[in-house]
Amino acid sequence: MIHYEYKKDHNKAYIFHVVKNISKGRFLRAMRVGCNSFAGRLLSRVYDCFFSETVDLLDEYRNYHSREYGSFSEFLQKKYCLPDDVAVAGAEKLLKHKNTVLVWRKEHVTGDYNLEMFTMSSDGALNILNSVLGVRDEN
Amino acid sequence: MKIKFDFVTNSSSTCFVVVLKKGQKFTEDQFMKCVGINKKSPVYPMFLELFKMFASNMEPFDAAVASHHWNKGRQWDVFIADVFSADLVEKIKLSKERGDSLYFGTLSSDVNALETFVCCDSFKIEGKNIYIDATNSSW
Repeated sequence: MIHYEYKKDHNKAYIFHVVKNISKGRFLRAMRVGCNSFAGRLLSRVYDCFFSETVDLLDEYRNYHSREYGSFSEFLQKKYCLPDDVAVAGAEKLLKHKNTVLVWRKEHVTGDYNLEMFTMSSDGALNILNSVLGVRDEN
Repeated sequence: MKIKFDFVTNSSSTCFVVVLKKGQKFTEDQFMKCVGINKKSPVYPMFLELFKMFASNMEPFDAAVASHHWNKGRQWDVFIADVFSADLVEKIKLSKERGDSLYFGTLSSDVNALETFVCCDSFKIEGKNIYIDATNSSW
């Protein structure tokens, strides 16, 4: 699910390739937990944390930068400082997998360090998120 | 004086209280009902780990409080008034009067991602027969 992880403006940043429009309700239904249970509230926090301050990169490019940059991959290279091959691979992923999205986010944007560490670690909640949001047959 | 030249890490520990209604036992089924997870849930293993974490770290209240390293020979009621909120102290006293089973346990932030998260988070789990309170300490 993590397409790329790097340092930008002195902060760690991530790019995720995930299935589009998985609402929190759908995520919780896939996890088979009730919204008002302890498990539901915990996973709801994880979902909110994961999507906090995320930017849909293709949307941003189309809405604000398509005249400035000749292509989406050029936008990823120049605006988001991605290496050429990573930018090209990211753009290809979107072409290859319909109904998916590349989202960008900085680390520690929620103010809850503990929740972020748990959400973003693979032995924490990242694999759980991946089971619902991850793109199948990604490679 | 010790001088360390590589990574210096900091670990935390916190304590929790479990109240079981008179005659009830801390079982996997009771716990899963209480947190709102059924066996078909893909996150059942994570909550099973959570159950085992509580089960293996809790001890009968009076003995655990008397021997706890934060307690320095104080009476149990003085110690809990110092460590827990007024609400929880009240609940513990009421539970003792009712003859409920009381347990005390500690969690550490240097075991695994789940225990680290639970150790540094502040929460209550409330069910018909089980009450778990880990609100006293968080980051």
